[in-house]
Amino acid sequence: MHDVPEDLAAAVRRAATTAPAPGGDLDALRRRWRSRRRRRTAVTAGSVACLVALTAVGVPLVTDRLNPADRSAATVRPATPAERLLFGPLNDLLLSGDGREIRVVDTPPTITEINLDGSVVEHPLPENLVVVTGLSDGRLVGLTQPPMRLTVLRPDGSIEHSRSLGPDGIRIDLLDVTAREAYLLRNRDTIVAHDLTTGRERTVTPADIFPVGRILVQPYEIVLPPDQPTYLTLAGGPGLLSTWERQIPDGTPPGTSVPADRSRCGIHVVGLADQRQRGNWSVQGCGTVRNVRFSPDGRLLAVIYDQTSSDVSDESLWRVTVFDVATGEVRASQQLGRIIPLQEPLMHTWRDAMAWADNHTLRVGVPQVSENPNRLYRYDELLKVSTLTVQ
Amino acid sequence: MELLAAEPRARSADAVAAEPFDAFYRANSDRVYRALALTLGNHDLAREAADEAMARAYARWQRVRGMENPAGWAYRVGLNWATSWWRKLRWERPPVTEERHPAAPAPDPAALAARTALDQLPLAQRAVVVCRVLLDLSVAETASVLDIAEGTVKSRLARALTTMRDTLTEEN
Repeated sequence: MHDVPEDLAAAVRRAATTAPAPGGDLDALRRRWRSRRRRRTAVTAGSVACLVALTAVGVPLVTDRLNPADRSAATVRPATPAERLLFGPLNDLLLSGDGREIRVVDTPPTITEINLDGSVVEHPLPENLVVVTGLSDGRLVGLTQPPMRLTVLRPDGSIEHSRSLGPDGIRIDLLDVTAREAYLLRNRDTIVAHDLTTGRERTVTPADIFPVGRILVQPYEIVLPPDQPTYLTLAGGPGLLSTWERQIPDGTPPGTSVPADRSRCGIHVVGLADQRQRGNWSVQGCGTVRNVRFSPDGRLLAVIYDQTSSDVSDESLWRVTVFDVATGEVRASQQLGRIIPLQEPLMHTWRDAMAWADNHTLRVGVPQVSENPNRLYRYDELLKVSTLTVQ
Repeated sequence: MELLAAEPRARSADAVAAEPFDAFYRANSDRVYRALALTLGNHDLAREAADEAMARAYARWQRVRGMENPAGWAYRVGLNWATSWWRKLRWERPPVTEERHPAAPAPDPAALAARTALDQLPLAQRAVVVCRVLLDLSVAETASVLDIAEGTVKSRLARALTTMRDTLTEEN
């Protein structure tokens, strides 16, 4: 190790002593593996995806989101989609090694966009821009941290503005963005609308309308400490929010990985104004919900889910199903293909995305690889975009 | 405070292949965990990642044991698991900044200063430093484990060491 001066090497070894003892042992490891093996065969209780419709403020907001072309010619595919199909940050390339082993190569972070005509656009991201969503006018909006700032990028990638959202340490999630406002979850307890131009904020709703649950980090569910109770994301337009909640036994200690539910996913739609449940249905054969997205008018809900009941190291079979939000009726459903092979260390790097081109046309993109990968792939080579038309 | 001693150079692949998993675990689990903790700057995440990596090594031991560097493989699996897991989180909900420095008092000021200097490096540079120093991997092995070119290993290492040196000098 002649290229590392001994004093610096010693400093690195000293630094390693600052980490507390790992605390793991072989018995725990074997239990972890036995639990995983059981999970491969046991099909148990269902997962829950709770979808909350902010009906009171949602309708005008959703209407605001639509452009005139959407309203007047919903069956005509617009030149500019209502929502952009973005993947990212896709800073990965996939590399074939011994024929089946696939690995990941890091590259500078970018957002990959698939246009309606299938063309691919890469959007380089500034450093530390970690959460990004796109506007139909070509801008990207994201959070930069630390310090926590809301950053708007022009279509050419330059920064339109970057505004502080508060002191360091404050917890903020970006839920979604319209041309005028960004919807933020502040301190896990309040949803606010942040005016992109002025920075002024108005409270939309307290977040305690959401069921208190645990975070889902697919494909594992991590039980978090009580101060981080719920995983929350905006599923569709700014009027529609979703949470994922897993039913985990009370008293499960923080940090515990628990088996994924692999038989069905429960879907709940809740109105904000009265906090009453508007819909409640179950997706049979749903191993894990991967993504949900409401149509711009809020009438349809698309759910991407993994149909396999096996562990993540096995191949996955994904399907997208579109539900009528009011009735729970399945309006369209399509298999997205077999995602193979999901092997370590790649299995957690897959991205999927969907976007409504209009109120009836859904685009879904998932990465798929061939049976025998044998070369270096760009990520966008592997993205397969399907289009569902819902009548 | 007892310092982590540099481990002996990696044994031959044949020697590792004959080794039962238990021995591999005892010899490497702590090292892999600490390497991940330094790289990720998050002890809890590192613990989870190390456990995950070791569980996968256990499940695939017949294959992993024949690899040139099973500990490097475990480190890479843990790092990928953690960073991808983290990226998934970051993509949808930013990490809490205070998680980066969990309350783990370090009684040794020099160790804490070194940790601070390391934390200021980009993750990619930290990973190279950790591979070279804590995991005692060669340039070629580091390149293989991190899936980068040997030249990249050298350049990242050089930049990292320069930054560390400057930081430690300033602190002193």
